[in-house]
Amino acid sequence: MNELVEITNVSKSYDGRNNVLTDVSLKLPKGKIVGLLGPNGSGKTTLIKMMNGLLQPSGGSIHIAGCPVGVESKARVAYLPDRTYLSGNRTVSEIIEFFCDFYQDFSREKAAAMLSSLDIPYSQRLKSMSKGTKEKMQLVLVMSRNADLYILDEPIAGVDPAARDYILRTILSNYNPESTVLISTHLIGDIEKVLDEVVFLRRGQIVLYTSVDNVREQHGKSVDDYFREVFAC
Amino acid sequence: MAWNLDCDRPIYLQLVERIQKQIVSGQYRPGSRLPSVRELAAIASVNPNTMQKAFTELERGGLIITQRTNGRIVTEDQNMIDNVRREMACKHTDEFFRRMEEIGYTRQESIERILKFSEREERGE
Amino acid sequence: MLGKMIKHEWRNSYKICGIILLVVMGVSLWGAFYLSTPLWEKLFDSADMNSLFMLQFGAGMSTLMVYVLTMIGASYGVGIFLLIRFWRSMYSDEGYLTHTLPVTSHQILLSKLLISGIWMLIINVTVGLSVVVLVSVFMKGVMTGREWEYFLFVLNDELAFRNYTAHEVYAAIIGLLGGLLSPFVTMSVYFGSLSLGQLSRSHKGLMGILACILILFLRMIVLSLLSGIISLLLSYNSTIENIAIISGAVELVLELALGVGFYFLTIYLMKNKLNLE
Repeated sequence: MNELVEITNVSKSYDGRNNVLTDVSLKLPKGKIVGLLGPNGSGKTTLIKMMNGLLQPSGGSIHIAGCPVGVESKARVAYLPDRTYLSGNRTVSEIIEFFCDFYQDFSREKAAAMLSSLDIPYSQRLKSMSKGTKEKMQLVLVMSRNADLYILDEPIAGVDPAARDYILRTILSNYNPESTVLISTHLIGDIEKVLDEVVFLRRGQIVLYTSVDNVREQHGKSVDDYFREVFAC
Repeated sequence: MAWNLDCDRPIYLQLVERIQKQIVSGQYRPGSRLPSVRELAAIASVNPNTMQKAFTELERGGLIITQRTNGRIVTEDQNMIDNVRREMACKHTDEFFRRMEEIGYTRQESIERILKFSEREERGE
Repeated sequence: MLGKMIKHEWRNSYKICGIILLVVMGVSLWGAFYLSTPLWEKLFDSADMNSLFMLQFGAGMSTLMVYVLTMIGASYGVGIFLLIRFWRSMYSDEGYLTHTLPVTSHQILLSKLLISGIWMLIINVTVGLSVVVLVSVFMKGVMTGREWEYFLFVLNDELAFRNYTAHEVYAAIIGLLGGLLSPFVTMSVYFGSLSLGQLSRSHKGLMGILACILILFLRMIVLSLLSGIISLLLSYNSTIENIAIISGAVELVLELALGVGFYFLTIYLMKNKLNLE
């Protein structure tokens, strides 16, 4: 097992008819930042949910760091969904405690550094947080983990340009050669510079998996432009 | 501030060019230590793997040398640095002549234009 | 991990449930004071149906209403709160956090079942005790000294264990077990019903509530049918006491089976049919 993520012949269909994913196979190595790109409805979110154990594949299997998706893999995956999952009236420090409790690889120091640079006080209650602050909070929680796989679902959508820069810088500074970051997005232009490899997903199938430099060298254009070409309506 | 990079061409090549420029212009003196891959990648806001590729390329060209204890240093071979500077100058010159040709200047006219331009600069206009 | 889940479930519920508990206790205490005033004794002794009597009787009745509504409201309030918490943490956006924690489905469900069942038990016991206390206070208030002593004497006699027959002991044990088990089984059934709502493609929450109501009715009907049938079958051969005990025991076993069945149903739905929006 050299590959961090092994997705083998995975398919997902609802009621035997609606094929959201068809025979998807993908192997992601360690130490790369990979973009999962595709239009809405291409199956990105479905694939991501399956990697996180939030959905069962209809066929095929997914292994992360050698384990099938389950309790062990969840301990090694840090997931940032495109939803706000924080709720209730807990304080920031209570949430940090919660994460420290359940995740062995959670780093208080990293969290403290990020919270201070984002100006989020430990005593702030969730109820009084704006949606933007909650999203930043979720980013802090994900990036404070020393996980094997980071899965970020649309981390920069609906975020102002300054915050986008912060998020991308955080992703880069958190980089380590033992972990892989999978970013699912349709805002390619902004994140292109930080990607090593890209996966193009169309209608539930992988149409491309290659390095970004290959795209630029072979097609003489940016990944963003090449994407527009491939997925032209 | 992130470096200004084009997504149309491989980024690592652009990084190579930029670091070369910094070396030939003296920003990184011969024999001096370069920042680590991670540090420079953070400054440039690029993927560390991409910066690593750039470093590897520069090493291949001999402009930087990896030392086991000191990290990466700029070569002390002044000849090599001068060569690189000359290559870059040639490229810029080629580019200049090509562009002038695109707007209808001949080689001779282009050179005259340069001389006139620098005379005016000296006179302070 | 189970311990951690239990700890966090407790943290998420103790504030609201605790407040409701305090309200119950508060209302009970107030009721006890109200009933223990000599007013009542005088009320029963005097036969004057004057307006003062009517006023105080009216006040007493409305107090009683407040008390009853509070008790009912508290029991249902705790239950509904716990079910909403369950649904939110499992099937709303919060589910993205719950289901990606490095814990098994059993740990998630068991912790919720335990804490919810315990709170239901606490509230039910508290409400029950409150009723007992208030009734005794009232009776003590209206009975004369002698009548009260006699009542206590009879009670003592009833409760003295040496006077119990074997049947009565079994019945008591079954009753006790049933009482302890019932909140957990109820919560398990409701959890399962809410989870069934996940099977529908849209309006999962609404479907879950519908499932709860439907299954509630089904359960009542089936249970009463079954106990009727069992009693009928047994009436051919057994005495009344035996019938009561055997049907009680059978019902207990069925309740247990129901609870366990719905538990595993919920686990299955969590593992295989989870599909958060």
